[in-house]
Amino acid sequence: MTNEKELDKQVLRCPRLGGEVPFSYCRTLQDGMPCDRIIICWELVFDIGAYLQEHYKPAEIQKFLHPKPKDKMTTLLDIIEQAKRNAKKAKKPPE
Amino acid sequence: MEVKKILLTEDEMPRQWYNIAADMPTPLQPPLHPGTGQPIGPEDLAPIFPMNLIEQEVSTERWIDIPEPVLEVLSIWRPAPLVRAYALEKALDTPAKIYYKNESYSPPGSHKPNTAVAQAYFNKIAGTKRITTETGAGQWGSALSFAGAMFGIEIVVWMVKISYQQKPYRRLMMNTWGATCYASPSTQTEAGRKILEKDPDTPGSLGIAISEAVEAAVSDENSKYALGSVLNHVMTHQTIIGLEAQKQFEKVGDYPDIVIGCAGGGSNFAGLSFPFARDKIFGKDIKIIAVEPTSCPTMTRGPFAYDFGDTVQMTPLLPMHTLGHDFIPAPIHAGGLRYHGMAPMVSQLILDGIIEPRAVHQLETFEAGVTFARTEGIIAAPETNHAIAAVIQEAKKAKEEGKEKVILFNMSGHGLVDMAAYDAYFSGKLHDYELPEEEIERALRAIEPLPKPKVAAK
Repeated sequence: MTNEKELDKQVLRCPRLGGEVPFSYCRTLQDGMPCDRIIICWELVFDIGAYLQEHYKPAEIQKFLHPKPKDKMTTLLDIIEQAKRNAKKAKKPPE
Repeated sequence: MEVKKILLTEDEMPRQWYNIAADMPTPLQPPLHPGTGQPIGPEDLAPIFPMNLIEQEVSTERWIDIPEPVLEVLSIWRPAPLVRAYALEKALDTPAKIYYKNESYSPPGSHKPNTAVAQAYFNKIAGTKRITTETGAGQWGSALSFAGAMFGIEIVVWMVKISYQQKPYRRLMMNTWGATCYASPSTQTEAGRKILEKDPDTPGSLGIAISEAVEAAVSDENSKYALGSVLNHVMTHQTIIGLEAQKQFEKVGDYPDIVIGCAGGGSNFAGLSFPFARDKIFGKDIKIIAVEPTSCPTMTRGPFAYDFGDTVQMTPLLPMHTLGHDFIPAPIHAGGLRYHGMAPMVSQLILDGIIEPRAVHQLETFEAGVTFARTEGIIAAPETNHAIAAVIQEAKKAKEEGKEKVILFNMSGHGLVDMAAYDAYFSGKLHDYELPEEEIERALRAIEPLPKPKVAAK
């Protein structure tokens, strides 16, 4: 990609957020790795396939394109458990 | 002058919500706890939802009473008018009669307060002092903030940082209604602090915002969490839209042949269509269309997968194009909580053949939205434009067939806070996208070993 900075500034409407986001958001959404929808959203704007191959290893691409799916309720329960742990941690007096 | 708006008085507002769980041809499977493998019980959800809403979530009672205080707040804008779109009909030169339920009349400008008001009320009577939630661009956050103001309950919203910075208007709406809105990730929660430590400049994500809102609810015994889509009780609260429409049609002696709604998380679609879906289950001949974008065709590409829904324990599998012939094509799964995934109730009704999914191209949706704005005068939200595009398709089809079809759709919200999307359309920055046929075939081969869905014949 010739001009990465310009690319980062390109904007699309994110169907998840319901608002406009720059490409830089989409390529860092999952803990610094791209969003799993990055191909679908950016396909017609530029050659996103080539971009991904240029910047990520095949194993990384597989990982961020196919995050392990969980149903909504399972995910919610996971977040509740995580939140309980965080809350417990926050109540501990500072060392 | 012809009657344009079919109105109901406050006395004629429905007094009960309709719960389609009572009539679904295939009952929903209960979600299982990931740890025990047993069906999730009320105690599993009690840390974040009040018991009265959990009861609604699992209820199979057909009718659920709408409490009087909820009706009082809803009466600020409800009953919402059923409007005959004469100008759109004329512009399309169609014999079809087009009606729409105008949900943009609500103070936040969309259908979302229909459930926000109910959830705020049920939390209030359960003793909740504070409700937390997350929001992307602010639609749900502003609806809940409005509802909180109506019942004097504190609302705290975690808004994805990138939207918080770029979209000040809905944030200001939240503030005006007295809510606190944090840019997520924030320093208010352990989840947020951890992310910020690692990357102080992160733009945030819905996943992080959800974690923060849930943590804030779990950490404080007076707080609960609220969700604006996907869950069963949310769908049920929205049915007031379709129930009103049925009464309004009765007034003019009409009934829809086709019911159309855009379907993101499914709540505005469910709200309009479920009362009509009930009629269809009991024998009425109605076409019910859920419209989605071709760029994210969860429902329409579904036949390739073995399911569309979440809680029925089958994940949505979407054939996708690949990075080259050596790259194994595989299904995409929407990650995280899939708040923009389809509601299990809607998914199941698609499988049962009650609802027909349809995908439309992005440019067609905006073209439809502009046509609607230039005829009926209302600038619809970009999501709503999907429904309008399908309405126009059906109206043109009625013209070709010479049939006077009655079409009903949900004008789920206005687009006045989304003009950047229209700007992108007018300046040619939007594109259509559809999976190329050869990629679909290739992807289909890849998912051949997967079990096939049991989809009713349409």
